[in-house]
Amino acid sequence: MSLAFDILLAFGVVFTAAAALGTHDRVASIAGFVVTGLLVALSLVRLGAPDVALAEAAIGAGLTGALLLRSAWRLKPAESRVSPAIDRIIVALIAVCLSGALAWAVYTAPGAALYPALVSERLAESGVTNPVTAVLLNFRAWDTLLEIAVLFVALILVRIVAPAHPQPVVLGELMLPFARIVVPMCAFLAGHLLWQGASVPGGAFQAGAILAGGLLVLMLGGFAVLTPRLLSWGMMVALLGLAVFAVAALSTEALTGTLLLYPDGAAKIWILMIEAVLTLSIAAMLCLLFCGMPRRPLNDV
Amino acid sequence: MTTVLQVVGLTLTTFGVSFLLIAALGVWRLPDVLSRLHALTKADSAGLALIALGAACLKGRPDSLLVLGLCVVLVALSGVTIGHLIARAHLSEGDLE
Amino acid sequence: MILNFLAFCTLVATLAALPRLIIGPTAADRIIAAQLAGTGTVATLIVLGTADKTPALFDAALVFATLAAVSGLAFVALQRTRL
Repeated sequence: MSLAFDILLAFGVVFTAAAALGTHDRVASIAGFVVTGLLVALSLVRLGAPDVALAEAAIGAGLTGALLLRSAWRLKPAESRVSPAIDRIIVALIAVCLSGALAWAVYTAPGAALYPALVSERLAESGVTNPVTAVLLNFRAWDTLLEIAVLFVALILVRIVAPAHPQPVVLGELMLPFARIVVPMCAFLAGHLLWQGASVPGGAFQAGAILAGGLLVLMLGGFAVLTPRLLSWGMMVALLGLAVFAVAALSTEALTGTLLLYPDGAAKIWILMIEAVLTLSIAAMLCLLFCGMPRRPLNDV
Repeated sequence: MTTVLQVVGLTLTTFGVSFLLIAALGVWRLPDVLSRLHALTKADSAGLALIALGAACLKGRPDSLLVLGLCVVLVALSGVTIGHLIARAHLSEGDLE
Repeated sequence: MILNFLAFCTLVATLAALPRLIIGPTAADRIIAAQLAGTGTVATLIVLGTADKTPALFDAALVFATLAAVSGLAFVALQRTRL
């Protein structure tokens, strides 16, 4: 029976993705994409990757849909047009080549089964007991530092493009009881995931995405007025993650002689401190992506 | 005792799942936005509550009860709020398209 | 075994929202379908988590449940201000 479940799930993912791409209606595409994300999270659970499933749940369930709808809101209504046959053939060829290359890479990868043994051998030194957190924040913390830098670069690019701030309509009095329960719940859940990331699935990305979801509810409900000052503070918090992570990397270099090698016995506290700041910073970045950056008046430049 | 809990849990879960299936059928077949909203909110509150109650009986551990209870409350709350907002927007605009 | 069958049924209920998502006809219909799929996913995670030993599945269900409304809220809030 679980085989039937998996087969139905696999077909569901492909079919939903095809439906999201195939339709000419923009909201249908976005809704299809969101549902694809839900099904992908379920598949990750079935594949035994609850960490990734949690991240997909946190980002795919709330934020991607909201971000895409916000982009659609800026665009004019879609014109339905049919691409020339030659274009479609070229695109199909590229897609087939890409899928082929990916399939080849997966089937010929020699080291895929190598890592669990390597990680579990050194897990005791990492300061945490969740192997995923050990890899992300200790063994390969360097990669995570660069990922945060990439996220910040994306934010800077959005700042340069300077999209219009969305003006959400007033949603009415039912938003107040809703926000009163959901927003504290988001903060609570973010803290829970951040703390338990050391031992079981969870961590800074998931916690940050959930916190951003709570902030989005505040914003859409009209409870947070987006003054330029507030947005500037948001930028500061967004930068803080990268700054603290970089300072931590340099301090470990000074303390132990190796970049991002934490001092003996203190690894857990270092990891938790970095993750806590990253959570706030990721939440601020995701929020700013939605609501837009502070803008200077033109005559000021 | 365990078997009684298991039978109760499975029965509740089965009821919840049939609620969800009927709601999906309703969203698919009912004629207009407001009736489809009606089908959706039933699934959100009743179906999921029954499934969570059944799961709590099957799991038989108090700590999972908290998580399941929060799930039910949050999904029901989301369903109510979204249902209200979509219906209001639908009525004030005639059509959201 | 029965739980596996029930998980299969919740997945069917999740996927049963798709026809409405594709045919619409209004944007609100498609958001309703996505919302139903979200509820179905939470239900599927709960049923799967009952058979499973790790608490991560219930956590994932809770994350979905908390953020279930955000896309829908964004849809309603941005709908009437569309340029």
